[in-house]
Amino acid sequence: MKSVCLFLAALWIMAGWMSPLVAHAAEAEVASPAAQDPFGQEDPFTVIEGKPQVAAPDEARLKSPSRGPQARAEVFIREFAASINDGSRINPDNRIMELKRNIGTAETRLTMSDHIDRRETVRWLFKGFAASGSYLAANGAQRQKEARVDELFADWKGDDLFASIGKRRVNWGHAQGFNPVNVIAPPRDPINPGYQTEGQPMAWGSHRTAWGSMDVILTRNFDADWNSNQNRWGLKWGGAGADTDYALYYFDGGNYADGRPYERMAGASFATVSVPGITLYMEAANFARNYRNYYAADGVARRKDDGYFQGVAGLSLGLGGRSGFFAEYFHNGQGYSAGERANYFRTADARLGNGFDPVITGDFVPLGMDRNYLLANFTKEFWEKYTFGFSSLLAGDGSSSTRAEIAYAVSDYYELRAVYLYNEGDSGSEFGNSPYKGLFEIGIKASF
Amino acid sequence: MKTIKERAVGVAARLLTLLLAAGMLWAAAPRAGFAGEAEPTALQILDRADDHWDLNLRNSRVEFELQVYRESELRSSYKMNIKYLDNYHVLVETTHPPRNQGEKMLQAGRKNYWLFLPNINKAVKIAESNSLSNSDFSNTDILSPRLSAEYTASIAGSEKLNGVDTWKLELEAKSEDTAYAKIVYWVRKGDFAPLRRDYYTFSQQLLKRLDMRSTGKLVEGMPDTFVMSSVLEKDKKTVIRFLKYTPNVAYPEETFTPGALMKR
Repeated sequence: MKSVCLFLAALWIMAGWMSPLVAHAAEAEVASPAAQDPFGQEDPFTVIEGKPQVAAPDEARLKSPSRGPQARAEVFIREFAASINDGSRINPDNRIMELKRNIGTAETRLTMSDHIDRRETVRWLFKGFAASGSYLAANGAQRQKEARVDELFADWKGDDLFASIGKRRVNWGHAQGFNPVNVIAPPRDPINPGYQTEGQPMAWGSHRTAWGSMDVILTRNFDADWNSNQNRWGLKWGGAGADTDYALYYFDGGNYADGRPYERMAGASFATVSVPGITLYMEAANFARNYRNYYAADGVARRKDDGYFQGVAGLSLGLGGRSGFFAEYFHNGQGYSAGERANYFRTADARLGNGFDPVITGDFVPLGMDRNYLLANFTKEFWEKYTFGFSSLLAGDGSSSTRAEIAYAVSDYYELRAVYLYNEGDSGSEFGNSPYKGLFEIGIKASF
Repeated sequence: MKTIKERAVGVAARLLTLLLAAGMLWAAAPRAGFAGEAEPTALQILDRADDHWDLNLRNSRVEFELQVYRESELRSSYKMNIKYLDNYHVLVETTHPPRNQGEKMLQAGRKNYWLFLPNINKAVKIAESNSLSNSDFSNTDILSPRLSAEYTASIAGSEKLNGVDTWKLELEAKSEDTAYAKIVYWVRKGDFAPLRRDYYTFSQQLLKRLDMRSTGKLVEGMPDTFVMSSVLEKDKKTVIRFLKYTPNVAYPEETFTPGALMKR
């Protein structure tokens, strides 16, 4: 009897244990038992209990049809320590250009803008820049203290139309480092990702159709040191496919003041995401004229009054957030061949021996003493507070320029930054003759 | 007085009428009942769930807070604006912290993503799988809320999720162009509220989980709080919380083109 009772009890227990499995077989199959849940069992919303970490929006400001002007200020305080390249043939022993070894600067940038209407069709923007004395540009040149208006314009957006008038900076092209088609304003330094925002006065119109977008720009450059002070105009037509964006460019203008024809540009660019995470891009431009000085073996300067070609091919890889990598190959048809570079340095040796010569030193164009360059850039953000950047630019003559940077975000408003730039090469190479051998920069950036 | 034959005919007519009525009622009755209603198809459940946010977000502006947690500690906070035209035309602009102010991310078509960096005034083409501001959200997670265009749905069963009755959907990618091969989607029965998504890679590895909640403070029923958790690192989380919602904003279409980023 006892064994029968035990057997029945065992059956009852087993039935009780088995019944949920039988009754809810489908649910059990898809359920995530607590022990197997890869995310843990805590309530995911517990992490957001409490007050928001970011200040609540200004309700009154947001409710108004026009939200009021947006203002942004940035202050940079920097200290540079330069290692002069005493072996440079264009600035031997630092006696031609007399560059400083230690420089401190303070820069301020102020941006203000506002949409006038709720639909955000009409807007104005002001961007100003001011720097203390002895401002040191990224290319090593020194400038005096300056204050300028980088941009001041008003624009209007319709459904398919856009119009803008004022002084503003417009960047053309798909590449990230070198931009041959970017001729409206001087191109930025490809190894210096910092600000370079000076704009040009212009009238700009754009019309978007099913066939793409057409942009027309009329501009007049008053900077006599760059291009000309004559009227210029440009056209851009761009379109987009599912994975590809492309554009054609044309930029032309009236003759220079001395009668020389303008070096009109025709170009094209495209970018495509052919592999997830990787963007490929190309950019090409052909210039009708070339007004750069070249030097014969006897030191006589001459100009090749024919066109030249510049092209870029590159790829970029997104590594999440603000981390990424890109590499570019740049061909500069306006650059010097090995023989032309040797002729230039021989001529510089002879002419600079007699003292400062603005023509021969001015012909030492950064990224223009070679015809081929390779640029690699890597940026990685760590712990949401540290950013590490590394760029290396290799010229066709084997010389190189390497830049390493680390930034630490002290808070949402302040960032500490240290940068080291190092130029490497022999006395017959481009970067081996850079006026600076090394440049160390330490600074703080405040954003409000 | 009716004869027996007349009475029999009358009874037969009534019976026939009753039979016809019963047949009509049977024909009209649902084949598979669920609480007295027809069981919705997987596609209907998916569409109704995505309606909760997609229909509200069209032509709207949302201000939201994005908080990145690492090792269970708040590591960084951002405040952003979304300008939302439709599923495939969305502009996200960072407004906080000041050092990232002005950064923009644009979806200008299904697979056309751009990142605008204000300090160099340059727009860079990016992939949809790139993460948003180093968070656990990828671009497509926040910019493409409607899934039915790219996934086929099937009902994997019913399940209680935190004590709530849900449908459990399995979404399979129609092509390998999508960001995820499979998504398991939990939708609350009764009001079709989206509650949770599990994202799988093409190697069938569980990658991350999105939990959604509607507090009802902005729009009743619209998810406004999102927690994205990583399965690879259990103490990694990103929280998005909607702070301000402005419906019926008529943006110029020009706003959602890559060229407009350069125009700022």
